[in-house]
Amino acid sequence: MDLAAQLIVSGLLAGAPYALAAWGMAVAFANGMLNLTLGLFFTLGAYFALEFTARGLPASSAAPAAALAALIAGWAIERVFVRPLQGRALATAVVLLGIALAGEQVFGLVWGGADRSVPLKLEVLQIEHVVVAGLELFIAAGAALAFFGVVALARRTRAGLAVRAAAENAEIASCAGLDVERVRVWAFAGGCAAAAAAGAFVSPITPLSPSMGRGALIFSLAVVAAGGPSLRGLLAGSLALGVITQSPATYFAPQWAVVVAAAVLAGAAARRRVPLWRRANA
Amino acid sequence: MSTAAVTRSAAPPRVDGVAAYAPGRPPSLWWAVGGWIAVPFLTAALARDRFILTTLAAAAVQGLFAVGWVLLAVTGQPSLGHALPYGAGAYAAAFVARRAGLHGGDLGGWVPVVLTAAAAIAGGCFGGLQGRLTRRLAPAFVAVVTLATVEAARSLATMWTVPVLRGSGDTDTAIPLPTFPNDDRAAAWLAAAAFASGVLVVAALVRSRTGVALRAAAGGERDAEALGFDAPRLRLFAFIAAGTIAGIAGALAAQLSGHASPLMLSWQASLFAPAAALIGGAATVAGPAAAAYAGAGAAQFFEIPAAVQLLVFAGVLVAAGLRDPQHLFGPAFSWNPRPAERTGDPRPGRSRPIVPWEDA
Repeated sequence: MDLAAQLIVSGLLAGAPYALAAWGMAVAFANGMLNLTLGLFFTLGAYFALEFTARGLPASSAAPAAALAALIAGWAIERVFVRPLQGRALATAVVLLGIALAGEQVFGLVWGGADRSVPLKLEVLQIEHVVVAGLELFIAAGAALAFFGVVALARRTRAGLAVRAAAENAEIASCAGLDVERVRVWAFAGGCAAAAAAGAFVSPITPLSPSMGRGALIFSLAVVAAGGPSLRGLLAGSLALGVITQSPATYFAPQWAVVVAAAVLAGAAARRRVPLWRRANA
Repeated sequence: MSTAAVTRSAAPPRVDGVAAYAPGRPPSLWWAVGGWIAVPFLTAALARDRFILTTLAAAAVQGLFAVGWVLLAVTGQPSLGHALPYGAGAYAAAFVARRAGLHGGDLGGWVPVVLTAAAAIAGGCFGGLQGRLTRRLAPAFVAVVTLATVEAARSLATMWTVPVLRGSGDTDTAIPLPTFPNDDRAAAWLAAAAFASGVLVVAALVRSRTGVALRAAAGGERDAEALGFDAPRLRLFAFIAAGTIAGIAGALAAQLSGHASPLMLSWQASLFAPAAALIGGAATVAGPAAAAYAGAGAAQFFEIPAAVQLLVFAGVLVAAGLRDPQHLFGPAFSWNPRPAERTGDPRPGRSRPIVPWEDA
């Protein structure tokens, strides 16, 4: 019982940062883009944290800087590569995958191919029989703050309303005077920024490598497939998947987390009924 | 335009009343296929150097691996996880060899056949698993889900360590198995024969009645159903067939190198087949086969690092996506100009004789 509680708490804490990355995937996805560069920006955020800590700054302070860098890079990628391919989901996905692969190689050149780690030590807390690393709590709190900030932006601001309107029906939104193209570019770039922030938050508890974003990408896709597109579903999906992946990763090996996430993705994708997922029936 | 060409254009052959999808049997294509079958044999016969022979064997095996992917392109399933059945084949061969304690001379010399048969079954099963998961998905999600399956398989493979070569990295978690054949020239001949067989089988299948049905499965399910085809089942069949070929290629690669390793399940291995198809043209069989053979041979000969290969694949993906986004896995060029006349697109290299599906 104690072990189950421990796994649930650890899983919830581990899943929190991924909710932010999953939101990044979901917001681009809602606008008809399958953002396969998300893992790349996740890695970028993690390496930003590494650089910040190397200069004596706290890792969490890297999140805003990484998000800003990702916002600019995401904006450029959307304008140059995604916009010309609008309405071509497969071509967009393939081009973005190519960019992600190229980015991984660039990271390998800059930071090397070997695993790196971000040093950040905090106290360990014990609540009843559940042990919580202060570090995990700190990361989850930061990620939760960022996630709910994004939710507030999406729900309470005119920009958020515009993004939701464009996602719901681009044609009608356009008729209503909304610049859908501009909304799309910011939705894509915002998703990249969220992924970079998530990467910065996760960096102290995971080994850093140029290909670390692949797992995050699969995790985000699995969350969107299982819980999206609603924000509540994304949050619940991220936390649930965090718990589910944490259990085999604790008992067996960390690699099981990717296996579980891929299984959830495949299973959930096969059951989706929304048109973007399904083969055209016409 | 010649009278003969007009006649062919006006009356394409009818197969079960499906004139629009009728492939025709252009002789020039068979010349191209035949030419590419001859190249590996000729080079294997002419090569003297041991390194060259090893390179040729590896190139032919990679060519076999890539040519099976054409079946997936034909059915509108751009799998980016084709390394799953390939690696599964290699690991199945290693698993059978280790569990049964087989060595090169056992079973009256039939060990390679047994291992390859096991690999073909494993490849078909894992290909079928991918097909079962993705058979109703849009092409973009077929790509993503299959990529996820191969990443999951690679993670699992890194966990399977044996006492002989225990380690934590990709390269030192390899599983050893009996090497076959021991002679370099025999290896080059065997790989060339396997490659030629694969090209012939896929070319014949694509241009047969079954191929017509497979092409129909690339479109919408209702369209295929109206034509009398069970599209999901045909897509599943394509995955199983492509997986079986990949499994055989995996077993050959493992037996030639003497081990199965997680590198066989890497993104680099997985993206090799689609990249070859994008360079050579997925709407042909000879094109991807040629691109894969030449590309793998060059990578082996010049000992190009995996990171550089991935960078090249990335460039190919980006360039192909931007060049013709509507027909991404359509032909880059055609060995046969006549289908262009049938489709009414007069531009050279714009014919789409095999892959009628478009991006969803």
